[in-house]
Amino acid sequence: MSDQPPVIQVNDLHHTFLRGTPFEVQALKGATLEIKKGDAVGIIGRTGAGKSTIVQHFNGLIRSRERGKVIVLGHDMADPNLDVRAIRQRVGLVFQYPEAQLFERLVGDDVAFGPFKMGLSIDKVRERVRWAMNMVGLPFETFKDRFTFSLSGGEMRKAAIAGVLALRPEVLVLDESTSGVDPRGRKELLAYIRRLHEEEGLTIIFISTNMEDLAALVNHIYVVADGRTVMYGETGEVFSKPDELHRYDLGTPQITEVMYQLKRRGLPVNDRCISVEQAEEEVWKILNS
Amino acid sequence: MEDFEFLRNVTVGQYLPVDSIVHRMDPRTKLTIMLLMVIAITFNTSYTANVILLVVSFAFVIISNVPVSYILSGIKPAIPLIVVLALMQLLFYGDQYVPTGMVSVTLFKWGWIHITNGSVQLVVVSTLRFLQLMFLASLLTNTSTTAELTHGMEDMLRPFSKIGVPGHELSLVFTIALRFVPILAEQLEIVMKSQASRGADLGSRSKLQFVKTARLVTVLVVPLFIDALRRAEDLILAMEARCYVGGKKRSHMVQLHFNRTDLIAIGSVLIFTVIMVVFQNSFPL
Amino acid sequence: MEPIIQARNVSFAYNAESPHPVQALKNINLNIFPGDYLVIVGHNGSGKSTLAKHFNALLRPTEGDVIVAGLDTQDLENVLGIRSTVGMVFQIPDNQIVATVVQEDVAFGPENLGIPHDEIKARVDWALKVTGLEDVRTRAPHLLSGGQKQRVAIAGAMAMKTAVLVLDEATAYLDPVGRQDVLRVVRELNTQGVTIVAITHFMHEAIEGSRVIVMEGGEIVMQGTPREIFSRVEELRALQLDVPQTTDLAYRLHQRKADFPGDLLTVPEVVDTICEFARCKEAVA
Repeated sequence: MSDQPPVIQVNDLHHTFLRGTPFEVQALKGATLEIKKGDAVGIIGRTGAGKSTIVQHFNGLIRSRERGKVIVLGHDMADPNLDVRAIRQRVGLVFQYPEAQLFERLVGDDVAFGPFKMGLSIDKVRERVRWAMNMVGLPFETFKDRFTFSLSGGEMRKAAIAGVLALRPEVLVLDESTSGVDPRGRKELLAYIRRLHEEEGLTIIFISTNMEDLAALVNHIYVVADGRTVMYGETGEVFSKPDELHRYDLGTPQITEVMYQLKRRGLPVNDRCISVEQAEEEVWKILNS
Repeated sequence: MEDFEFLRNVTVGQYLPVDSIVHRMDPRTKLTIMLLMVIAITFNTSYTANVILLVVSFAFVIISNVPVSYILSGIKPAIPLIVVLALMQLLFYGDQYVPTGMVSVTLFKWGWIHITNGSVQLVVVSTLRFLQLMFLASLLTNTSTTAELTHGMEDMLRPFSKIGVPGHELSLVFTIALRFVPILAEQLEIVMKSQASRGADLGSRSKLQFVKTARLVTVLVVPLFIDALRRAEDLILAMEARCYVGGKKRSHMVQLHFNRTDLIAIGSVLIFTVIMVVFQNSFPL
Repeated sequence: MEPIIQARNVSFAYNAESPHPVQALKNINLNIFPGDYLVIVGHNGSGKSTLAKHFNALLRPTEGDVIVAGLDTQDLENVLGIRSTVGMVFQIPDNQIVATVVQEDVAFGPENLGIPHDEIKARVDWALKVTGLEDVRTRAPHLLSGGQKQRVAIAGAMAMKTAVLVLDEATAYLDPVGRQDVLRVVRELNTQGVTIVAITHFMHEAIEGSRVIVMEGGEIVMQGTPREIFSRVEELRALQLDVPQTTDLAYRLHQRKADFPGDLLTVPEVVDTICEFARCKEAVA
């Protein structure tokens, strides 16, 4: 992984909302990140820490004119001649409650909006829409002519995500896209994100408050607090520091908490377990000795 | 337009939490004063009267501790439009407006352009009226919270419920609309960002702007509309769950009371308005 | 003790009169007693929200009946009485708040019931205290966090002095901090005697209850105490419900070593039990 080129580099990023007005708010005070190609990275932090603000720099929705540098796929985002729309095709961003973007009468048309905007031919558009819809679990033939607003909540969310996938981005950013989803829906969503990462080679950036989901999906984690990146490391490494995470109002997966407590009680366990299977093996070794 | 955050703060007519006599007045007093002043303004077209009205409106602003610069900054975006309209009235409407009690005197004529003393008066009075109304509007919106205003409105409409005016329902509609303005503004920001992320060009100044605008509207308005409808559905259910059945037999936690300041204020403005209306034609100029 | 809510052979279909009815509930029988903390889990489409809406007569059964404090929900005359006994908090925090000031929204329910002015004030004060919102009582709701907004909704129900509080997936759209806030308030209310019915898809919230019901396909498929339910890991998995990682670990260890308890719920329980079995050192302070 470490020999891969970085797809996103952020250096000491600062950003203020509504600068010059009485409502001015400094959202970022020095965030630094590096995302390598093909990696799956998690970003965690409490509400208001600045996670969404950071990732909205990745596709040019926010282009900071203050201190700091953002380089995406080799392009300096502060360059005034930058073709932002080209970046947005390569870095797909899925928001919290993505179903808010649905507007077309038929599902297929809505998913096709992105590819059409890219100027692709009707055949290529169809191909991408088919791929995207099948990927998220909305079979193309069955769902393409369904009325968008007659779908269930979960189906609408899938349609919205398909709409972003249809751009065939190289980098996929998911900003708390599992919010409000029931356990079954979350499992489905995580399954196809994993497929996108492992089979299609997408670079994944995953913002979430669900530590167990993160443990199952990402290889590295950035912790954001008060507009700065404060911790970074491999998933197991970051979650093995619950006291530090607690300072930032963050938890760990339950199972890591268990291992941490057992280690504190003197048991020789690996406190970097991030799955129940790993923990089971560790504990069984102890109980059996 | 790529700066999406401007929607977060809709500042026109925002409540300014400073302290003043006006802030402490009963909202009904302020509403009544506004109504009376509007009547006085409507009936007065002379220069003198309008200067008096402007001074009085300005006096209200002073005693309410609202910085004049704050009010004027709200006008700034509209100034180009006002100037254009004023020029058009001045130059082209000379023969359409005859000042009451005076003879129309042509001051300048050339082709389409026709300036009379009437059109000059029209423009000056219009400008003065505009300023008076800005100051009075500020009296209401900068010194009272939306809650106060809706309570005031509801209270003043209550006597009319006997003839079928749904005062409570109207003020509830007003309250709910105001409550959801920042929520829908935030939702619009989210929709704009989502569509931009999918390749919609919301910022570039390109050709075929007109055609693009129509499509753009669909991309933004449809999701926003659906969102608003969903929220309305949820809200209805929540209101029913809390036993809402309309305005009849409802009690009120907030009770409005007039005190001496309110009565003096209403009384003096009433006298002023009566004088201004009765003597509207007696002002010099 | 008489149950405060009774569901007797309740079945419900959406669009019952149309050619395509959708069966949402099938022959539900349930008793909820005063002081209970009942948690209803199931994923989307299991019928749990549909059932919840029967408890305050927002929906009426197509077959069977629902009796709330002795009142039949089928009888329209009883609606206000039922809804002042059973309060409800919904999923999306913003879509249940009506007013532009927190304390005025809390007063909305009592105002609808025509409660006299002084008593409303007392109830609002108490409701704000019990939900920890006294500091924000004059704030505009859109400036609050998700957890605070849901507490406003809870305060609004409590101000109606409802004996039962139904939380229809009230934590679904909150961040972890917000969820903790809400659960804390609900726990406190339950110790004060309020009957709680919490609908959720988060299994780890089921630990809060004294009783858990699992729903699937419109039917109740499992019933019992949290400990009883959680230990049936395979069944829960088959229903595609989350099993907390602690219970999962305990269950797996139980499979390997029969005397290891398989029904552990919390992190301390699991840690303590493992330590017992491993005979480790005293807990490091």
